[in-house]
Amino acid sequence: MLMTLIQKEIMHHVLSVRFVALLVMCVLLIPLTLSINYRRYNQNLVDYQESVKRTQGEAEENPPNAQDPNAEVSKFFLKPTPLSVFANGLEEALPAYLGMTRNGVRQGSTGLGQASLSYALGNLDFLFIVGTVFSLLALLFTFDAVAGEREAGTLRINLSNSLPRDVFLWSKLIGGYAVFVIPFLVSFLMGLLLLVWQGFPLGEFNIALPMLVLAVISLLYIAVFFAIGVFISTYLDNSKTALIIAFTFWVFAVLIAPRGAFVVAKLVASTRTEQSVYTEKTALRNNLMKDKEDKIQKRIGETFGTSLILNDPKMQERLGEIRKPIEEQFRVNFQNQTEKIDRDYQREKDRQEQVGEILSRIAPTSSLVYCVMNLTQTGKLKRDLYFQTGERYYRQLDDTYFSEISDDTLAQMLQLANRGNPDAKSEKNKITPPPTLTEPALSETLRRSASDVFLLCLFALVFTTVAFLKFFRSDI
Amino acid sequence: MLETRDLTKVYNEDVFAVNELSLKVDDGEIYVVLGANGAGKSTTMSMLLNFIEPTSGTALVDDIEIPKFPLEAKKHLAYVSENVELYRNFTARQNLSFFAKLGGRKNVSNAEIDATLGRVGLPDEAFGRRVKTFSKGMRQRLGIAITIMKNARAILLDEPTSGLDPKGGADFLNLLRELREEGKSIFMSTHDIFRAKEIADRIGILVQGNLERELTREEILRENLETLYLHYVAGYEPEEDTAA
Repeated sequence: MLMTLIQKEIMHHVLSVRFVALLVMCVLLIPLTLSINYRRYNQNLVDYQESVKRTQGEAEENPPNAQDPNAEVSKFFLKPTPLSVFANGLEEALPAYLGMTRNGVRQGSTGLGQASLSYALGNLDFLFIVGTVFSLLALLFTFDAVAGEREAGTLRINLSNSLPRDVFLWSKLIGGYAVFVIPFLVSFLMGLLLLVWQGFPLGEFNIALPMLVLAVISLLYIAVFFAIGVFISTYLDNSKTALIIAFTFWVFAVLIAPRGAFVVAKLVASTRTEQSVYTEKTALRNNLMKDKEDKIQKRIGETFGTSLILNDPKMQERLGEIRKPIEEQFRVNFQNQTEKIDRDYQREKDRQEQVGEILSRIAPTSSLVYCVMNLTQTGKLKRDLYFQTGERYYRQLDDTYFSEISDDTLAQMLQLANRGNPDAKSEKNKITPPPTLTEPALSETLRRSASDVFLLCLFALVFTTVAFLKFFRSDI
Repeated sequence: MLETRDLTKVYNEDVFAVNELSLKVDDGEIYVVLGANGAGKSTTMSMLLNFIEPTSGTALVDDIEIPKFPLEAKKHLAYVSENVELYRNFTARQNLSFFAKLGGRKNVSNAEIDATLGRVGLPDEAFGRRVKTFSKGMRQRLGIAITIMKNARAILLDEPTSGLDPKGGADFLNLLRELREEGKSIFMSTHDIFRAKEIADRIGILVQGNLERELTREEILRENLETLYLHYVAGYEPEEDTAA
């Protein structure tokens, strides 16, 4: 009996206009966006490679002036990930590189700088298609599942037979879902084949496996909207009203809730701006520098009086001994205080983001977005890894390079005096090359996505259960 | 064959949609229940189909208690609603084939489907046409075809003749006569006094959930059914012939 009903349901959908709409969306949108986004990825990769090469060349020809505390002595570039073909995620919003200055890490321009208009309109990628387009189509497939049958009188005719109500509702869910999912999966497969034909490394394990998980999560997300559609449908007698309710729900769940959550978070947990933090650190450096200069001047005055001969190696050695503890104290002070500023700022930002993230999970679309971004390495996990690696690189440079540089007047005079000395080590050689950004492990990605997968399952389960309970209890 | 025993449905604790309704429809009998809107006809029908649960009392088909064993009971019931919309994108054949399978029929041949569609008076050219192109009369015929195909012993008809033209109505009654000849118990609710009088073996007049009067075939033929109906439903009293 279930099979008979499922077959009927499949035929009912296949003969409808919405199936044509679904086919068009699947066949056109999925392969097309994958193909276009692969081209964009290739372009980004070329840009990345050229930027790295150019920066290395510039460093060879014209070494950075390390005396300038704002000079970027090295740049740590963000390499685009091939999985961004499926979801742009945060990739374009992240700085193209992290510049290492004595004042700290400075962020380079983002990809959005050149494409802010297109960003305002949103990305067209697989994540958008599933999250926005297919969620709407899923509701269009289900809003009249029960309400439409009730309205047409076929619900009564169906249930006048020896047919359990749960079987009827299961047939609605399974039949509709099968009709929806098959064109989706076929188009996804077509899109993947197109990518492989264009040279996408789909065969690699660390790409193939996330793809598989991506497909499963997309199916789960579609199932959530099927459950929501059926849930709405069981509560209403009229399919037009059901359509209006379903559409309103979609607007809230897909368009408003995820964005609104972060607006609320900004109000609830506000933060300072990045620029104000940078300005604060610069002011701190200037204050400490002035303090350091005063101390050095005072000590030199006390030790040498007015008889200072800079060319004398013994005197240089003695000056170094005087400067060293003051220099070290300055460095430690500056480091401690900037770290505190950074920590406080990071804590504020993390809290705001956490509030936004938690609130946004009221909508299943947010869970899908977080999951897919993690899987495609374009999300929070990748971003955190990028900044953490940048921060580690900065600390490494600070220990091996920045700590050696002094910009008080005396140090500058000493450097001028040593210029041309063949024994002096070139600055370029002291700068450690940027590290390679390791991709997050799949196990870590899955671990981070577990809560979102759980939420999606929960949404599907709750809406399905409530729909069934309502349908069991309602008068036909 | 089809029976209700003190069947009652109360809404909001004090609104009696149906009040202790007891009636019996024998095999090969057409029982018509007449009543105004809100008299409880559809509620009775819904309780017979277990679409709503009775507050008290019970209904039986073939001695099976419908509220207790609804799935078993429904094997013996077929139903035609007032507005037989069916699946509009399906053809008549597809609709009939689906509902036959749902009614428990296995391996229904195309020949049997076509024969049933022909029997209810659908033209051959309509068999493969989508139902959305059908008139109401054609859809009602298809609804009857579905009940024939199910071969249930009791048939429930909810306002089946409303909106049908005179010829459509007459054809429909002929179909019912055929089914009666086959020994089916037919329970029909309607407003249509004239068709009720034409076809019914017994008529029950339902007023605000109460069965006010039950008429046998002889009484139906003898009495002025319209006046009687108006009397019960609207409190209408016929004027005395002043000339006499």
